[in-house]
Amino acid sequence: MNGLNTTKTDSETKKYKRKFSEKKLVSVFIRLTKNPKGLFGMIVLLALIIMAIFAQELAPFDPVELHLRDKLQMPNATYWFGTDELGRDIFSRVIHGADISLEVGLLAVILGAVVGVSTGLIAGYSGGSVDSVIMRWWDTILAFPAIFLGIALVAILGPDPMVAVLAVGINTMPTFARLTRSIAISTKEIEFVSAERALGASNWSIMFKSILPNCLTPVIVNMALAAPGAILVEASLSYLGLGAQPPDPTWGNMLQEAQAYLNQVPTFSVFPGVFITLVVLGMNFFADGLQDALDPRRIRAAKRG
Amino acid sequence: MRDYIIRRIIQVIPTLLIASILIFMVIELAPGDPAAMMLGFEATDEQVEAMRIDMGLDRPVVVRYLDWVWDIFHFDLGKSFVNQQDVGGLILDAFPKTVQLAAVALLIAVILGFVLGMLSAVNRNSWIDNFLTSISSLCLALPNFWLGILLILLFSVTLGWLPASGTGQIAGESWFLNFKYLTLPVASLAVGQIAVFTRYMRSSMIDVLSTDYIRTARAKGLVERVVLARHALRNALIPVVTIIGIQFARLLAGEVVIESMFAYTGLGRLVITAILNRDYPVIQASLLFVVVLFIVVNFLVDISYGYFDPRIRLSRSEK
Repeated sequence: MNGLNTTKTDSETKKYKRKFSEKKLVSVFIRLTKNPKGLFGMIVLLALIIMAIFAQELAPFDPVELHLRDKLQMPNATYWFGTDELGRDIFSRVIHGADISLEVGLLAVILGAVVGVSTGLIAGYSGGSVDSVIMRWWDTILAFPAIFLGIALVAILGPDPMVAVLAVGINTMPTFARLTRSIAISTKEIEFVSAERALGASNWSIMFKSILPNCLTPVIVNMALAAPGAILVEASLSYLGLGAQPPDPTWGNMLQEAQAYLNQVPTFSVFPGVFITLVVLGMNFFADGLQDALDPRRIRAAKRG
Repeated sequence: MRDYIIRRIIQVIPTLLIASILIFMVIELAPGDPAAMMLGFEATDEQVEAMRIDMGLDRPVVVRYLDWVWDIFHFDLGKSFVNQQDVGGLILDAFPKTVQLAAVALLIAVILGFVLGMLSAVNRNSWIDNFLTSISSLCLALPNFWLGILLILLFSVTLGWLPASGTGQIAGESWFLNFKYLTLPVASLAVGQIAVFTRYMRSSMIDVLSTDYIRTARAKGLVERVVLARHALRNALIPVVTIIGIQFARLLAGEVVIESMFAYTGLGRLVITAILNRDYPVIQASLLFVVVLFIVVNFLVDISYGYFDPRIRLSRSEK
């Protein structure tokens, strides 16, 4: 029995809600494209997603296939980005690297959001000792520098992209928790929540149906903001050899291989790094654009006129 | 103020405790038996068992944890598995180099960031401003180890001006302020930080420049340069100074990768090498050291916030 929706039928309410949110989505999208930085960010993101999904089709060669006779070549007609020390085509490896980097970054941020938001909701809504314990735990996690958490986890669990996801994800959780906690604290005092409780709605339904929708916008913005950082940390971890292992290509571990061959194939070290930078830049711009598009009243200090 | 400090100390203690437990658990949960690893492949089962008892590995976890904490407070951090060196000595050797790197990078970043940020704010929306803003966006997106590789490519491989690795110790030189070896690592670290400080300084300066009292100073007829130097600058600096502490902490953390790539024998490299070698005493001790350092720096930053902004130290009591 829903708390307050007693005047319309359930299906009518759902239709109205869906049309409303569709319109909002479209207007957000339009505002995003009008902003040049946001547009650039979206294009980069789209290109990245296409590269990741269609890696097999876009890559001219198999990324782990060895062409030993053609090893350590500079970019030429056959091998657009050149070849590495085992004769593998760098261009194909870079494209497949997008796949892993994007997956890890995205999964990590989603993991962070899910765990962070739920613990933040519980902490903010419950208050008292539950709140203290949860937030104290996240404060401890914040005390670990990002890369060290990844290093410690790899020491236990061994190097693997999924461990990287865990490490990077855990890093993002405290911010999500703090965010949702403060929203939960401020909304739980609002009257309609008290009304719902008076009508007998359970705590869980209050948290997820009434408070959570308020959190959606900041959480999405935070996900967009955390994603580029996540990708950078993943790149650092795999550069150190603590992420996906060779022969799987990630941009990070390609950079590590490149370092040994700076004399022979200098461009080897250029391309993966360019892609990392481009992706992080694009996602930063996308996050900025998203922030503006979702809340145009927001006055950003850097743009103050 | 003193109450604030005491309150913060009380808040930090559980964090330290939990952190130490987590770090201790890293060894517990890691695969592999330390005793077996010390003795090597040929050891028999009885030898391994005897070694375990000798190392105290058969006692319950809680006892071992407390023992470890007790040892730490007595500055006994154990011996490295790899070369039997005293772990405390290794850390003491590596720590100053790391701090040196971070401090030099921070200094450069602060000075350049202030200057560029001010330049950007004063000439807002001019080509200087747009150029600097775009460059700083780019620098923030750059992975610092990639920048390091590019710098090595340019300055070591192509031009041969600077060494690609080391602290100078192997060549017999002192590591302290040895700029030949410091330049490239510092540059890789500093570029990102310069971008951060430039942005902060710029936005802080813009805020200050639009305030009423600056307008008053201009209306008084003061020359623009005096307005800037005497009134605007001082006030713009305050918020920026507060992030210096945070950035120092970030620098310390970010050094891990840079140290590895430049073979700079600091704390970060110590941790990484220990992990790759499965050198558990070193992993435990250095990880603990780094985390404690990080917590301490953040703690000092918090205290300084309380000092600068009275609202913070008075409001913190609600939790």
